[in-house]
Amino acid sequence: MIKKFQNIKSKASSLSLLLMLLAVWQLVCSLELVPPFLLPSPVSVVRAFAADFVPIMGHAVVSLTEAFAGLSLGVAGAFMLAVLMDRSNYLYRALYPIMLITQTVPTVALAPLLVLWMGYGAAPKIVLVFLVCFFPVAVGLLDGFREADPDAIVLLRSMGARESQIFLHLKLPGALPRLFSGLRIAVSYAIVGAVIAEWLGGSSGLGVYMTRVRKSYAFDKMFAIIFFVSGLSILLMRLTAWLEKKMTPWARQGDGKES
Amino acid sequence: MSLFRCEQVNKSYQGQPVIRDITLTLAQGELVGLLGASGVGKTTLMSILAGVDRPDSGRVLLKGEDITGVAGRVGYMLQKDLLLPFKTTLDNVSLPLILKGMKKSKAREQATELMERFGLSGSENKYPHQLSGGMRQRAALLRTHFSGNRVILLDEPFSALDALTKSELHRWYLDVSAQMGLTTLFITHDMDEALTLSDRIYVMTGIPGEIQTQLAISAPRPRPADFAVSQEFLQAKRQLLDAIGR
Ligand SMILES: Nc1ncnc2c1ncn2[C@@H]1O[C@H](COP(=O)(O)OP(=O)(O)OP(=O)(O)O)[C@@H](O)[C@H]1O
Ligand SMILES: [Mg+2]
Repeated sequence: MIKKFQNIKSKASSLSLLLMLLAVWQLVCSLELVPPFLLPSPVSVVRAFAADFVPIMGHAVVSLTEAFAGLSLGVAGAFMLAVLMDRSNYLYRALYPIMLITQTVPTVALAPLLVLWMGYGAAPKIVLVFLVCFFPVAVGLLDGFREADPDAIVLLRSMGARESQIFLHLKLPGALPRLFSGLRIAVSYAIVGAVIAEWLGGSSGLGVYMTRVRKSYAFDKMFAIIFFVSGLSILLMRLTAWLEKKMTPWARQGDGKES
Repeated sequence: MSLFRCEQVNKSYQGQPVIRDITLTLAQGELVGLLGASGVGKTTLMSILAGVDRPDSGRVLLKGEDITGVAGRVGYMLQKDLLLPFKTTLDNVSLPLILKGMKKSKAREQATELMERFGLSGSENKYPHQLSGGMRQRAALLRTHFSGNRVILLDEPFSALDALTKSELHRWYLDVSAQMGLTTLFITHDMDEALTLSDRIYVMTGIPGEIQTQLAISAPRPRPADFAVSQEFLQAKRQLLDAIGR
């Protein structure tokens, strides 16, 4: 109850701060403290967005499709690898350190190479998104599987459970919170990954649009698209959080009388 | 004839013998205590009886059938309640039935029937962290009941509870096990608990742990109110103290 209230309060205060920043920005532009071609005013950014709404939506569909394709493949691949590594101690010992190291590599740096290898189609974009999503999800899942209480495993064995049943009833649900924290990172990378790969070439997508407006020095459109891409990322993260809440009902606060 | 027994069970860990030549029997409907100091090998023995661990030698028999190293034939409750945090009480309790291949709806139905007798009605859809200590323990006991042939092995089932909840649960367990015809072996550190609940008590001592004595209590269950000051109680307690060597 109190927590909810604080939540609303903190949301309200960050919203008002945001509005204030917008007002200052608008003021700076209206007073022409900065040349308008360098810093477009919020109003003109909104106008630019409205003017290009239809083409932007068209590009967004392309980018989102790439992002979802890469994300789904990444999650599916991560799931399979995590299950295999959980089953086999040999694989675990061999691969886990490598996986941790690859997490420190900025995967987006591979984008130019992928474009050179695979051309300007959707393939390099999907592969890049796949790569950026794969590792956080795989590591999260694997840590989750490995965290299963050994005594709980003994208990399920004592009930005659098979390995697959131990996985289904104990390891998988126990790993869901870890999976979702990996997934939250993955979805935010997914959109950005697709956009960055599009910068390097292609005929459509939000990244392609960004490159075009940059080349024509259309700053208002640049700002519009940057806000739009951040908005999409936030939306996807929200969606993930919602899904997590649906799928892990036991993690809800309270004494069960509320829900 | 004994319902459940083990014969000459030995077990070592890393070359260190932990239990030696353990033989014990449970007759139908008996409530038997296993008393021993910490580290004497009680949990080790129980995990062998439950079939999750194999003895180095010896065997475990259920109704004459050799079930050494076979899990899932008798109910086993570990030292912690181990209710799965992501399942509701009802799903936790019916898990053994589902693991045996029963349809989820049927398993839930069977579990629901016993929720009331186990003092759990109204908690079906709560998660374990929303239950009291006593309720968690009763839920774990109900789950144990569903996992095996009315033979139930309990590793310190009551030790984590406060005194009041403990004696309440004692009375309740005596009642339920009589009604349902359960046969129980339970581990305890607590002599008074062993004396209050058991038809017989095995005492384990030494390194490696061995059955040092066994002792029968003839007073009827549930024990009369003044049992704790009766001649039999005091004599039995003296025998236990001597056996444990304290
Ligand atoms: N998996 C294992 N590997 C190695 N040693 C073990 C293992 N399990 C138990 N032991 C050892 O066996 C001995 C007996 O342990 P056990 O858990 O059976 O004792 P216990 O009588 O149940 O004690 P407590 O009353 O404290 O629960 C201890 O010395 C313990 O260190
Ligand atoms: Mg123990």
